[in-house]
Amino acid sequence: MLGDKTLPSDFDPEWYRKTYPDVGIGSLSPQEHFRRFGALMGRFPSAERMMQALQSESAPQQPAPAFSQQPGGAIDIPEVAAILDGPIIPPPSDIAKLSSKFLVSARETILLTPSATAVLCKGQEIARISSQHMANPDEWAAVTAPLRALSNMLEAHNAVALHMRAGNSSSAQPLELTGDVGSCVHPALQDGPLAVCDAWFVADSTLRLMFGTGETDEDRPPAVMRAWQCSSEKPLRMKAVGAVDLAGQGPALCDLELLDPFMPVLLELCDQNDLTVGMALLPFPSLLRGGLHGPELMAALPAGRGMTAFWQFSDQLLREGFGQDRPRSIGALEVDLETATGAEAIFGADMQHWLAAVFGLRLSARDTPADPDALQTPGRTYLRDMLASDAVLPAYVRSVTPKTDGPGTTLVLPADSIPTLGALVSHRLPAALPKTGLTGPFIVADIIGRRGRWSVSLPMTAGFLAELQPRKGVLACPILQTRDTKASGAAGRGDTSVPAHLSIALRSFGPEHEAEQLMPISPDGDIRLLRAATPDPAPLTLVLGVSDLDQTRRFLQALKGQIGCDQVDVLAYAQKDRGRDWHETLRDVLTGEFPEGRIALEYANRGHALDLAAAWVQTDLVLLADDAILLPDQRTLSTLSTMLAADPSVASASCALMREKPARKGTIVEMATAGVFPTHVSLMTAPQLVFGEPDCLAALPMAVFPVVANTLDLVLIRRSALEDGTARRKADGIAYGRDGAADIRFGLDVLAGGGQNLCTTAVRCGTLAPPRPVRDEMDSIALSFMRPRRWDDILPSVTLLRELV
Amino acid sequence: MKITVIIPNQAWANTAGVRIRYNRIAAPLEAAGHSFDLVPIDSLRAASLPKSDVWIISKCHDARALLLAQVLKSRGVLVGVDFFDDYYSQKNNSRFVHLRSWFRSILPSLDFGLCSTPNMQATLKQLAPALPCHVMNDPFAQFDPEVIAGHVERNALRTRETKIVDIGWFGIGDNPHFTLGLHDLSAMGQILTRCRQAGYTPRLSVLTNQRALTVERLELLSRLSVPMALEEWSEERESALIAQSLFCFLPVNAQHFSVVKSLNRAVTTLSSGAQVLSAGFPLYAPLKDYVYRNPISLLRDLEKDKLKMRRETLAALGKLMQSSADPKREVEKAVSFFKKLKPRKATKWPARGVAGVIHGVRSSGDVHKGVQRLGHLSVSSPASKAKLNYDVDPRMSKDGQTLDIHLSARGRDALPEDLKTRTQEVAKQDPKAPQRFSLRLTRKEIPALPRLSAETLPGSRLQRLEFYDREMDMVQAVLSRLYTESAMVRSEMASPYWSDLGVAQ
Repeated sequence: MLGDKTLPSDFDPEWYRKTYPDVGIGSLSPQEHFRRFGALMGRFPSAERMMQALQSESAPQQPAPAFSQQPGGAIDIPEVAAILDGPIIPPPSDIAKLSSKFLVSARETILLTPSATAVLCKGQEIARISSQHMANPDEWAAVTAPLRALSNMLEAHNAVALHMRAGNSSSAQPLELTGDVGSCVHPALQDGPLAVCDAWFVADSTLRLMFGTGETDEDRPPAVMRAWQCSSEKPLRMKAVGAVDLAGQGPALCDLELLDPFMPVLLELCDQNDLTVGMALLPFPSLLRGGLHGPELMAALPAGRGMTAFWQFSDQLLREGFGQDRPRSIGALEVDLETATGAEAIFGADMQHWLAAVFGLRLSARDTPADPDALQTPGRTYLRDMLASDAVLPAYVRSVTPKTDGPGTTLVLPADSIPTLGALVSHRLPAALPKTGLTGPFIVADIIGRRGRWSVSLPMTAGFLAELQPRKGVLACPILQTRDTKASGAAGRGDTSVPAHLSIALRSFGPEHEAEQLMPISPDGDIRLLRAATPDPAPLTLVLGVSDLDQTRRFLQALKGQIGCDQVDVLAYAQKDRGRDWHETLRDVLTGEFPEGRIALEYANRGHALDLAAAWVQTDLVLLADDAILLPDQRTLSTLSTMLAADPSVASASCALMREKPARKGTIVEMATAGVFPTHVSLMTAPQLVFGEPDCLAALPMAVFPVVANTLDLVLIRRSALEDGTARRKADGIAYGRDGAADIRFGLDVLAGGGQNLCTTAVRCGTLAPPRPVRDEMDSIALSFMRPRRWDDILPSVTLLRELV
Repeated sequence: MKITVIIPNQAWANTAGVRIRYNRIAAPLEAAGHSFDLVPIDSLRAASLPKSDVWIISKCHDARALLLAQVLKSRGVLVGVDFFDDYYSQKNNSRFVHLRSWFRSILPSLDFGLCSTPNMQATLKQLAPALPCHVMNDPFAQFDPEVIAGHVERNALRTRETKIVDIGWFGIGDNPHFTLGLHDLSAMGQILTRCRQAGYTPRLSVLTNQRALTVERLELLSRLSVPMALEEWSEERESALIAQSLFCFLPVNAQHFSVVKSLNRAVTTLSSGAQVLSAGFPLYAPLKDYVYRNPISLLRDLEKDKLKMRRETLAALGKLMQSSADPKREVEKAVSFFKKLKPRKATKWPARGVAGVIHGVRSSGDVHKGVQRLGHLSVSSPASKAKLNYDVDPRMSKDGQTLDIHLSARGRDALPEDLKTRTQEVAKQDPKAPQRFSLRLTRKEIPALPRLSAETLPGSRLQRLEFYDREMDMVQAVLSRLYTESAMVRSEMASPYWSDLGVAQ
């Protein structure tokens, strides 16, 4: 029967209000508060009752004593009354009581209605269905749809093993649940007074459900909600993890102490006769707020839709992952051990058990240190062995062996990431992959708040991108690799697309350590930053924007240290004529540093310099730079050269530029630019892409990624791309020099020609140039390059960033 | 044998590291007829260095230690470093550039290394294969089987009766550079919920340092799936917590910094009367017969009255402790190790010219004073901003063509005669101020001088970073011109790439 809603005879309203300060906050009387919340939270109704409980050994929770030691004597463990100084955070006694109260093990009522039928899971009665529901096929389908979904999810392990037993029978028959995967929630739990109106994790494995919106004074009908969960250790059994009496009005809360934060949770709603009204399956509870997959839901669907978005997304995942006969795309999971500590979520036992139980996947280690001289540390060995060992895994997980070949795709995860549900259930990931693998889209989330911060979609068109990532540090992004070496083939432009984020990177969003902000990879280690081999130095032409002679001198000295030769052609340009003396001094400075090279001086703007350079340059590589650029990292030029040499399609390469700005008594360093990205669509005239320079360091702190365009402040360019670009400009009748956004125009010309513009945050430079206004660029009169018909060319070729907050 | 441990300063003598590692061996050393001293590095003078057979440099990651090691090596005594933590093997980490530089600089002066775990020894073997290295386990303070048994039995009885499991976690909750401490507790604390599967209610008490209690870490703690109380750490509270806990939870992550740590926390827990539940990297494997990896096993043993550490097993645990953490035994092993080492022959250092320190971005007045006390030169660079009484203070003119060098008497005395005669005494405004001299050199006199015009540029951090190496090269070139030969080390207390590079404070 339902819980008694009357007050205890010894209820003391005044004591209750004083003892629990939150009671006074709302408009409810102490009596009403106790009826609605206090009783459920296990609070005491009176001082006498509390003293009785405290004196009892079985008191659910007592304040933790402060610890002290008698001088020179034995340790004294004080009684509660002897506490002198309270703890910083006292034990949350209410939650402890809540747990013990709600962990009901089974139905307490006896099946009295002969016509009703009990649904059993390993002897546990998880539903009691009336004859009316059973007689109506639609009702039957609606009530049992969540059970069908659960059965499908754990089908591989025959996990649910459901039976049914009629009220007038003593024997149980297997419950046949056939048909398509329907909705995972019964309408009664989705809409109306008994609907779950919110759910979130209040602790790592404590899920709080909220019922009742509080918008109506109407009482909810008598009802009880019970919750069960399969543990990932023993998926064949369902255990009760909570229950709540829903009768009354206003919000009702229920904390479920989950056995596992990932395994599906089954909710059953019962009427006053303890007959099942409806059920709901939370197939992936970790999608809820505070769960590890919460950011995925946040990225997939617009905010503010509450549980509707959750049910909708869950249904989509169920249909995709468990409603089809063909195998899912991901056939194996690997985690890159570079920088792994073992404390990351991917190494958690719950995660590994869940992957095996629901998806039949067993995580294995990708342990190929990029640096062959790296220490083979005991920690790394332990992690590799732990993933390979069967010793600590449940029997059914041991039966899931890592698959190393055969059809299907391997998802290689960075150590700080977990796979998304979308990737795990998908049947639509590309099958034709280059041997080096393809980088894929991912979400970046705050590891503390578990909120999504960035959605990062790396284009799948550049197979070489995986090989261009930094050798050290955590893998920049998830990588899809084929396991079938025979089926391997290079994916060309437009061949592939990934319909879902592949992983969620869980990172701390505190400020970057200043040493790493300026040099993410230590300068006293290896000279080679990227996985790809560094090419031999090639002849170079410098196209230098000059604004100040001292700066020019400083820049040339710094650059010379990186080029390592005197034979560099220099085309210097200044915005305005500063007179003959200045001109001669500049020439002296240039010839002083590079006496063997050709020297030319021009008056031009930056875009015009592109046009001039195309006609003047004789070397294959052109470095466009401004004398305001600072080169603190000796590996800058070699890294850009490596990026350019990685593939003939790479037309330009640049790196993140950092700027210093005054703050309080000193200065802070912030990002100036790390490439131009498409940011949104403008509907001001016709639909047009808008481009900007978002601060992407949090999303891509150490990576190589394609952008729409690189800054012309510092960029290494292929001469052929420059020539192609200027030819295009001539054909259009608009030279770069006439364009205020020459960098974007050049970048788009590169893309139009099938090329790529790459930027990296693994090496960073500085700039002394004053801050520019925030860029929000579009071709407002639609002259040439940003017309909607070109979006299909642009978007699949560049990195797409979306801030989720 | 006389053993001297060099520590950073007098205050350091009161830290837990010194208390656990050195104070516990002092008495057994003296009982064995040896002498032992803790000496702050800032108290050392060149003229009055104490006599000692073995010098152990401990947690002195600065240029004073580099010079002191050279001085001691030249005197023919044994010099070593006690490597507490691994800040040297993370080759890709920009934060530890200065520490790796310190390690590389001190290595040639060392006769031995000390450390507290085989994993740290293995790391040092990879980083410095030729350096003899000895593992000196952290000794335990006391091991009283009767007291331990009392705590174990009382806690077991209470737990069985109340079905409430008291769990302790204690220690430093944070590290400025690594995620560990409370992060490990958060990451691996899920295992504690398994107590519920065994029918027990877990109750966690956390003792940690206040610095660790940031908003982010408090949020992590609030997410723990077991009820928790939090108090600030103190030695007394730690003892009391362990004594009243059925077990202490000691999660360890697998990053290299953590896996080379000592067994100290497990030894303390066991010798204070609580069981150990560990998770993650098996750091405490040497004590595996007394360490649980799963709370359900622990609680099953509790119900069977067969806990791993109980009255009947304490004798065996005592023997294990004696073999791995007994102060007397550790002293014997260490002394035996030292006796096998042969000190190098005494030689003059520096053989010619001068020695000293070039101050970088993040040096300190303590280093400056310490170097001068050791009788060597304290040299400024364009990067060093502190106004100190440097022995050599080169200042480039704005046009970069001349160099005015300010010298102390010691700096001037070390000059060759031709330069000494060119110096001029600087008029003193304060009669009590030390005597100063100046010397002007032109660019032509220093061919190796890098082309530098830092004075003409604003001192932004990013510029300073770009100029750092060139500025240091400039100082080295100046010193080479002044003294012909010089043995100099750079003084950086932090990565040169870290924090404000000498800009507005």
